Amino acid sequence: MIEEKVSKLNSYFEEQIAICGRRNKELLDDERTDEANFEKVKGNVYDIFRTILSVAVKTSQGDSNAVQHFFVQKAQQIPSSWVTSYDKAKQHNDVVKMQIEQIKLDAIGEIKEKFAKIWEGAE
Amino acid sequence: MTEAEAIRLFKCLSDKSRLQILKSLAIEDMYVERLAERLGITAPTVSFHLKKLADAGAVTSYKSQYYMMYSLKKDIFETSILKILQEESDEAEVQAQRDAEYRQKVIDTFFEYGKLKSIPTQRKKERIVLEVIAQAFEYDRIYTEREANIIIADFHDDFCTIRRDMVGEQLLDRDTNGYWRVKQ
Repeated sequence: MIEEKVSKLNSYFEEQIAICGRRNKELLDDERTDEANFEKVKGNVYDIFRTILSVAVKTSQGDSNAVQHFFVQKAQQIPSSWVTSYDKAKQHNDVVKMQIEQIKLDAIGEIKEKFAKIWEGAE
Repeated sequence: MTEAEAIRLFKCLSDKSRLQILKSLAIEDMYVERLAERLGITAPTVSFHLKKLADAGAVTSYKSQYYMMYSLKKDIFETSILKILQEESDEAEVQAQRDAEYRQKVIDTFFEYGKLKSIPTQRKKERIVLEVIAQAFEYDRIYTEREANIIIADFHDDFCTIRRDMVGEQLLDRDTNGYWRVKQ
């Protein structure tokens, strides 16, 4: 059961990373370097959480609740510095930084939603 | 236009989205959402590009009713590329520019929104950081130690080290009455 959920999540991460890689290449080919970089940033977030999932599985020894607890905790902890950074940037009207942080926050929002759906068996 | 300004502008223009934003603004002044709709990119992405264009001196903004309108800085685009190429680059000026760029890079690395993130370990970099902090002190005014500490604490919590180093770097001087900024 847990293997199936982990496999679904891994497929999801791999798919998202591949999409971001494709978009990055397309945008680079289209001479849109900064937007290509946004895709890279987004892809990195998926990659980070794919690694976190594998660490969660390794350290939890097949305990589904422990995997969930570990993953959800990291999904709250890690973006907290992104939120701080976004708020600080907003305070100083630094739209360049705001955009980068927003992309990371949007990606983690999607990841959390997907994780909850798969882990609760809705998918 | 200096070489550094030209490079910054050309770098900024070498992006299709930004070029399309400029093309739109060449037709008429526009606000972010309008540009986003025209170009099929999100409003935050348009704001991102506009900020880069504004920093490169290519666009300017003004408030109109509820909207922030953006317009092309036409004088920049009226400069011919040949004129930029023909501009002589004086070696001393180039060196001064390099120094200014290095200084700015150090400032950007160690300061975030006016706060010092950490005290540089390299003396050359620390000197630059201390010079920035020294600007918060007025000339011809004597500050008590407490006043000096409060000013420095606005930049970093370790005001003792910074105050001592500023004296060591002869940016501040002191006697029994207090501290003052040294004229360079």
